[in-house]
Order: sequence, then structure tokens, then C-alpha cells
Amino acid sequence: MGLPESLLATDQTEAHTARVSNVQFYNVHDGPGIRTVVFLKGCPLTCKWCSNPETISTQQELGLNRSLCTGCGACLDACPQKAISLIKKPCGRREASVDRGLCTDCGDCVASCIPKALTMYGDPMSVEQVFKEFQKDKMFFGPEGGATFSGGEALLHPDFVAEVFALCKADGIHTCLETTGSVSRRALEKVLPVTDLFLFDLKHMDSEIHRLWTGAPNTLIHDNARWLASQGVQILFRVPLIPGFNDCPDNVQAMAAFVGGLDSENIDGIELLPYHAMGTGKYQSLDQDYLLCDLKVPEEALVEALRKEISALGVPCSISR
Amino acid sequence: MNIAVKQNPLVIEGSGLDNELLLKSIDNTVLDGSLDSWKKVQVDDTPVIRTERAVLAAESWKASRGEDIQIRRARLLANILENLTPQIQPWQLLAGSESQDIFGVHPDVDLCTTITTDAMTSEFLPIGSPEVAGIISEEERQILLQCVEVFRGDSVFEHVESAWLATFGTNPMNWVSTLHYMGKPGPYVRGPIQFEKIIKQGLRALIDEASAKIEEFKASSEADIDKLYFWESVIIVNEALITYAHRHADHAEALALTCDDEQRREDLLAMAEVCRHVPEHPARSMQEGMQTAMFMLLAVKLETPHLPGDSGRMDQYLWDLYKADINEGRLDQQRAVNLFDSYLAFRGGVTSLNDPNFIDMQQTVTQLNLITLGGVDRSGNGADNALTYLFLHAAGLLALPEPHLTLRWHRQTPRNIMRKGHETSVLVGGNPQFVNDEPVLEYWAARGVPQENINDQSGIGCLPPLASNVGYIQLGVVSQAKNLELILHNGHDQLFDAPIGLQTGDPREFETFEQLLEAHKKQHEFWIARLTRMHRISYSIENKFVRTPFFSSVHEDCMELGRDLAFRDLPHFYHFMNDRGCIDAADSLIAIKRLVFEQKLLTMDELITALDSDFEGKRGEEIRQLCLAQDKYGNDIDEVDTLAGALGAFGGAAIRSHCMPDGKPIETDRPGVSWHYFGGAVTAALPNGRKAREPLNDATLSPMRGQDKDGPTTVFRSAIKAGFRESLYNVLNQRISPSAVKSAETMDKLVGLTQAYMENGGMHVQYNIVDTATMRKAQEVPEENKDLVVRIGGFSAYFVQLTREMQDDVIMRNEQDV
Ligand code: SF4
Ligand code: SF4
Repeated sequence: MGLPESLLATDQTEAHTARVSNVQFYNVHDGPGIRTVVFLKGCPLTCKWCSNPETISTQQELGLNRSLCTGCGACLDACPQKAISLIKKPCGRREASVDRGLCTDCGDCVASCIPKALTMYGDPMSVEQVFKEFQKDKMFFGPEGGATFSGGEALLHPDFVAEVFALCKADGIHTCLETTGSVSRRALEKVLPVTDLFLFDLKHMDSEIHRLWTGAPNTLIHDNARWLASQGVQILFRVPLIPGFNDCPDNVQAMAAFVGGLDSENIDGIELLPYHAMGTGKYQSLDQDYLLCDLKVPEEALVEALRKEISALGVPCSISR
Repeated sequence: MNIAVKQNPLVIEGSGLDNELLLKSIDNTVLDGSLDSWKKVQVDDTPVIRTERAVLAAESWKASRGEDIQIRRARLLANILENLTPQIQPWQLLAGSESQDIFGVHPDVDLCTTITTDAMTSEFLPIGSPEVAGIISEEERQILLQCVEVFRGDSVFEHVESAWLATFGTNPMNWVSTLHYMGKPGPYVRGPIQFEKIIKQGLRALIDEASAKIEEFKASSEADIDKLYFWESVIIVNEALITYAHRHADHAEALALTCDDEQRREDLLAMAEVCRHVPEHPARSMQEGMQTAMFMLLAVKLETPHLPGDSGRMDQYLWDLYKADINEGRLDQQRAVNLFDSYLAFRGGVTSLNDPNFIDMQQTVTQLNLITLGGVDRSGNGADNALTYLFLHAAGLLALPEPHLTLRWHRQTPRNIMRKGHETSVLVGGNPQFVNDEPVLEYWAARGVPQENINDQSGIGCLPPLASNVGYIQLGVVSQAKNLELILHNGHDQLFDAPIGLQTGDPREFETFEQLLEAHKKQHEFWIARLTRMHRISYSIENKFVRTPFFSSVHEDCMELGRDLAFRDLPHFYHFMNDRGCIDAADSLIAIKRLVFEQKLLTMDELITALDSDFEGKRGEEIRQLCLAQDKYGNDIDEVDTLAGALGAFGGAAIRSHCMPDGKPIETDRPGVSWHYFGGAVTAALPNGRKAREPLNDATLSPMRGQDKDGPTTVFRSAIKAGFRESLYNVLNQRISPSAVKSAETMDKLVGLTQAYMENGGMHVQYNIVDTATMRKAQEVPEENKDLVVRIGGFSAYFVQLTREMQDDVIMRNEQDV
């Protein structure tokens, strides 16, 4: 199954704004140095293990963080759809509950919630606003750190990303882009001149298995990886290590062979991101089901063994911790 | 500002070791077995209150009646040093301990008398932390009370309290809820101790110096007899300290006779030899240098039991000795680490009896005493060395919360020192703290302190870094948080139901935010003026009753000038006031501004009613949530950050507008540690959403707990904006999630963070790695812990966003990692 053309095309929003689900300062795991990461909404893939479900839809979405809800009921009247009701928990506490069938994600209720249990994922931000967010921590970036776009898939908004990164480059800020690779060539071309480092996700070498777990085949992704490598830009491949999906030796070896076979001096190798289920709370806040609830976190020893295996094949490999 | 410093590689010239080999040999050292066992028992050890010092002090005081106070105080200490039972504990490599106990306490019966009388007549005897009680037999309680009687009429407390009563018509201790007075009047003078001089020259040279001064005095036309008495007192106490050391030598030899363990016997005999030689003579080895420092600090503690004494710049004054030891093969890195850990354990056992009336004042069992590492030398060259690294490593091995370590940061601090400092800080939980040299330099330079003394600065306790020739006293705390409570009640203290403050008008009638702000400033000025008045009165009384001959004999200016530090009038003596609660006040004022004046979501009456009921009642929780939801300092929001800065600048200027009788203005500092518990315990509910009696914001530049939502860089931006440069010292405690320091790479990034913060003007930072207890708390009260973040590659979420199962999972993993 291919992706709908519309998703692969270009911006879903106005060229100068994009929906941001989160701005994260002092990020120390996604790219070198101390970074500020801006998460854009919308993703062409639907990976079953996704830990950031709020970034998948391109639209803004209502989130309800139940642990902060005091059951005050202020939101009930604020909702034009009457989509919110209070339910009584077994412990006796009252808590808001959103009828997702009625809710239109309009966001009218958010301001009424004083403890900020209700939040809107995906406020639109302009190029200038996002650039300003990146600038805030400039004094902490040092020679290595800088700005990172992540998602979802930030390259659903290539013009936006390119414009922000152009401003960053002009301001001397290092730029890094995290991508699924499942994007149009035009989008990559657009951001290439202003992107210092790509964090490029690899998920599975078998296209059919890839499609079953992520909703799309891997052909476009691999083509894009080869093309990016041929452009000489710096790339670090990132592999979310999902038990039972891509942690078998065959696949791991194939990945190493793929990365090792790329014709570029500027490949930083592979970084393994061991599976975790930390995102389940976000699913609950969106009233969505998490499909992999029984999956176990991979053993550290196993992850280390895989790391060694990849390194032994001549591809530098690290584990994200 | 640029300090000209050359990069300082951590090599030991002549040792033949290159940088990497040297550091590796230090990294490979481990915690000594006997210290490890000591560490395990000391955790649950009960402090014991002892009477030996009190009896010796009283005995001397009776015998010296009629002599000058300077001599009497010297004889008192001498009698203690000459007769107190010498102690060497089984785990010690360096001789000396106040008592035979792990935590032994000698109550002060001679200076802070009422603390002891109050304590001896109370059920619970707080030792440091309010949770820890000391033990004492009924008979010994009576002995202590009898000893106090000997000092009746001679105690500074009584005289100051009578003077205050005569002036104010009431005992100012009744205002304590507002002043949060740090302690009662007494010998709280502090300052850097001249370890280097004594280690290099020995006490014999100091005694000779005093004798020469006396001869000079006699031959001159000088009329100030206090000088003569001062130098005489120097001789008395330092001769006694030499005797004290020799008595430890005898004791070590006696112990060696009955010791079955070959190694221990050797250690004891070596200790005996060391104690025969130092502190009388110049130290010949690092062990002798450390032993000198130990005896000096024991003398300080026995002279003024409530003042712990600080160890100064240990990596500097021991450096030459360590280098020579290593080069001549007398010492290896493991032995050096063992010696330092033995020293740390000795300092980690120093404690004192707390005032039962100020039980929340302190939260650590031990007394705060500080070791300063790194920095620049007297001429301004980078002075970090291999011993800096070794001490940081050794502190990480022992992992004690006390004594506290400061790592001085300057532009040339080597990266490997910073890295080691952060590793230790993560292991020990916020120890060392990082202190920026530059604001300290600017501060003292602006007060005319010579550059070389500033370069040689070191920290004292939880208090600020002091140039090496500075004398310091903390007059007390004025709390902007408490004052905010007062203006919301027209000067009436809510918790103690007393009309103690300035009547600034009924806040319900304020029409603008500016009126409110004006009232706050007036209230604050009122209390600053009041505290100043109290101390101007006590100043001359304290002069009559307090002397610290030993401490003064090892303070840079006193010997030269023949003046006891307790006179508090040396050229570089400064009186400080601790201006606290600025952040609580700023957050509270902003909340009122938004809710009452701008958005008009509440009337002033509704807000105050909610505060008075401590957010209970029909609308209580709703209003508290509204209060909590308002802008808070620490989130890089200009209006509240600049308001915090303005309140700080205001407090500093108001304090500085007052002078002490020596003619110098009163200075401002904002040291941290645990005052926020005490300050909180006496403050009613505040409009920032904090409930009555809960701790105030910790430290002085930290955001309200759990309300900084964008992590450390955002907090640092707020802190830099707020400035607080009117104050010599500001403390910022930053919570860091364990997930952000798990790997070598992320640890390096934390180093980069501190580095950048300091380069951009940050004054101080101490990292508290969030522990599992805090996370459990966050599960129960998520609204107060919104700042906790879980970071993993490609994912980040607030802790409170996770499902309960995932929260448990994070807690479990964290426990495994520790
Ligand atoms: S987002 Fe809009 S429709 Fe949905 S619950 Fe809130 S107010 Fe109602
Ligand atoms: S979601 Fe917010 S407004 Fe609604 S009941 Fe919960 S706390 Fe109140």
C-alpha cells in the first residue's frame, strides 16, 4: 500500500505556520550537544510502537492529562459540543471524560481548565516564533548543540523547516532534522542546504514487514537514504529497536550492510533506541488505544549484543540512553 | 571580564606521570574498608550530648574571675585543650575527634547560654535536623545547667536581651516569625582561616610572632591595652593547642601498645609521630598538613561550639606537600584518597545542639562546614590541580552529604575538573556546588578589597565566598515572603495572631497594583530598619562579652593589628543581612496582579479569605489552583523575572541604606541551605499557591518547587534576567532528572550547561538529581511536581503525564541504577 499523494506532497498548513505539539529545551538525546527540539504535527507513518501519538495527526488535538484533573467541572460548560462529562472513579474522585465522538478538537475548553489538565496539542506557530524559540537557548548550545526539528514528520512542512533553518544558519545555530525518510524528494532537496545533520530513522529492511508495522513500505525511505548519502550531508541513522519486529539478527545485519554500503564519508553510523512504553500516558490523554501493551522492554544485554554485532560489521554503533 | 590565566594541565612536575596516567591512577582508587564500615554505622547513629567541655569551661571561668575578658576567654579554651580527653576513633588515619562518639556534641554553656538552658529543660533535644534527637542522662543535664549558672551575668545573651527589652518594650524574639532571626546575639563572626600560613610555619612561629608584637608594644608609646591582651591570648591558646596535639601523640602510642593489628599499629605510631611534630612545626608531608588543619578546626569548634569552622582551600595549601610526597615515593594515590576520606568523615561528624525554639532552622544533622576547591591563585593564575581532582574523586567515593564542597569556576577551569565535579555531584547529590569566581571578584573589588585576597577567596558554611582577609557576620534574615503576608493583613501576623508589623493599610482598599507594591516595600523597609536597630544596640554589648582568641590568631588581619575579630571593626569586616523570599514574593505579587487587578477573577477579599482559611473551605482549592496557574519565576517570563530582580535590588538597596556603628553600610547576601523550612514554618498561605507552614522556595534563585516547566536552561535564563547582583551570594538548586545524566555523553552535556551558565553570569548552581522519593511524591501531588521530565531518545514527557505503571517503571529503574 502506498501513501496517499496528498500526504507526501508538501505543507499541510499555510507556508508560514506549522502546528507544533511541543517545544523541548535542554534536549540531550536527539543530536549532539544541548539542543532545543521542536516537534511538528503530522506523520506519514503509523508505527505501532509510536511513543509520541500526539504528533501523528496533522490537526490540533485535545489532550486530557488525568493526573492533573481536579474534577472541578469548569470545562463542562465551556464545551459547545457538550462533549465533556464528569465520571466518578472507583476511588471516589471525580474526573473529566471527553466523548471523542462529539469532540471536534476546537480547543474552547482549554482556557477553562485552570490546572492545565486539558491541553491542545498543535498550536500553530509562525516561522519567526519557532526561530525565536530556537534562539532562546543559544547561549547554552556551545559548539555542538543547536536546533532540532522532530515530529511526527517535520518534512511534511519542508518550506517551513527550510525557512526556520535558514534563519538559524544565518544566526550561527547548528541545525538537525529528525526524519522518517518517508517524504518526497522535493522536501529533502528543500531543506538540504540548511540542514547540518540528519537523524534518519531506519525501521526494517523487509518492505512487507515494514508496511505491516508502520503502514508504509520502506522503498521510498531507502531511496531517500541513498540519495541523501550521495549528497554528502552528515547522517546518523536511528533504529528504534522493537522486540519481535526488527531485533532479529538477519534484519540487524541487513541494516548494518545497508548503512555500511552507502557511498559517503559523512555517515555517523547507527544509533539504537531501545523500545519503551513511556508513551502510553499520551495515548490515554488522547483516549486512543495503545496496540503494543504487552510488549516487553528489550534486555540491556541483548541491545548491547546487537550493538556489538553492528560494530563488528564496520558500522559505528551506539545506544541512546 | 577577563582574568588572565594560563591553562593548567593536571600534572605533578617531576613525577614522570603524564596527565592521563595520573588521572587514571586517581580514578582507580577505592573507598577504604574501615571508612566503608564507619559510613554504614554512622547513618543510624544517635548523637550523644557530652558535658566534658562544659565542666572544663566553667572551672576555668571561676578561676579567672577578675582578669581581662580577652585573657579569660583564652584561658577557658586553654583549659579545655589541656584537659579534654584525647580521641582517636578506630577508623581514623588522622588523630582527633571532639568526643568518643560518631556524633558527639559539646553544648555551648559559655556564649550561647540560653540555647543550652532551653534545651536542657526541653523534652526533645534537636541535633541539627528536627528529626534527630540527642541523648543525655538526667544527671548530665543537671551538670550542664550548673555550668551555665557559672556564666550567669557574663553571657552576652542576657545583656543584649535586657537592652532590647529596654528599647523596644518587648523581647524581639517575639517578632521572630517575621525576622526569622538566624540566631541570638553571640560570637557569630566568621572568616577564612590561615591554614597555609600555619602549615608552612607552624604554631611555634605564630607564638614567636605574638611575643615579638608584645615586645614591640611594650617598647612603644601605644596605649591600647587590648592589643597587648590580644597577643597574650594568642600565646595562651596556641601553646595549649600544641599540648593538645602532644596529648594525642601519647594517646596514639598507648593505643598502639594494645593493638593486635599490625597495619593499625603502624598507622597509630605514624600518627603519634605526626602529632609530636605538628601543628607546632612546619608540616613535612600531606598527612602532617591535614593533621594541622584538623587540630586548628578542633580548636575553633572547642572555642565556639556552634561554629563549625571551614576547611578553606585544601587543594591549594596541601598541593606542595602532596607533590613532594608523590615525587619522593612516600605517598601513593590510594593512601592520599584514604587520608582525605578520613578527613571528610571527621568533618562529616561535626554537629551541634540546636536551639529548641528554632527547631526547623537546620535540616542536616551535621553542621555546615565547607571545603573549597579549584579557583585561581593569589596572582590570578588557574590553580586547579591533581589534588583538586583527587579530592573530588575521594568525596564521590565516600558520598557524604556533609561536609559541603565548593568547586570554584573560572574561565580556565580545566574540562576534566569540571567533569569530575559533575560526576561527584551526581553521586553525592548536589555536592560539590559550583560557584562562579567572577561575581565574587566584582563584589569584593567594588568594596576595595585587594585583588590577591579576592583571588584567594574561600567559602564558609552555607554562607558566601569571602576574600581571604575578610571578616563576616550574618545579622539575620528579613523575609519578603513573610512581609507579603503582613501587608495582606495590615501588619497583622496571621500564624501567631499578633499585630507585629507596620500598618500599611487595608489591602481591600488598594485600587492599583502599584499601591500593593508600595506597601510591600514599606513593610520590608520597616523590618530591615528594625533588625538594624537591634544589631546596632547589640554591637557594643557583644564587644564586651565575646572574644575568639584562637580564631582571631589564625585570621589574616587580626594578628597584624592586634585586634580580636569579635570587635567586628577591622578594615575588611562586613555585616550582612540575608534578604530572603524574593521569589515567593514576586510570584505572589504577580498572582495578585493578574487575578485581582487585571483579570478581576477574584476580589482582594476573596483571595485573602482563601489564604486565611489556608485554601480550605468552599472555594479554597479552586482559588489555590488559580494561584498556582499564574505565571511563575523560572519560566523565562519577562514580567515576573524582572519583578523578582526588582524586589531583590530593592531589598539590597534598602539594607545598604543602613550603617553599623563602625560606619560601614550593611551588605546583602542570600545564602541558602535550609532556611526555607524555617521561613516556611512561620509564614501563612501565600498567593503563589503555597499553603501555610509549607517550606518557602528553597535557595534564593530557585523557582517555586515544581513550577518551572521548561527545564534547566529556561530556569537559568530567568535567573540571569533577575540578576540579584546586589547580593554577594545567591543560591540556585536545580532539579535534574536521572535520565538526563545517565550516560557519559549526557554527563558531558551537563558540564556544558554549567559552563554556559557561568559564562553568562550565573553565580551558583547545585544539581539535585531527582530521587525516587521525590518521584513517589510526584505521583501523589502531581500539581506540585510539574517540572519533572523523563527524557529518552526521541521522547520526552513530564513525569506527571506518564501512566501510573510507567511512573512505577521509571522509579524502579532509578532504584536499580543507584
Ligand atoms: S476541544 Fe472543543 S469540542 Fe472538544 S471537548 Fe474541548 S471544547 Fe469540547
Ligand atoms: S479537565 Fe480541568 S476543568 Fe475539567 S474537570 Fe478536570 S480540572 Fe476541571
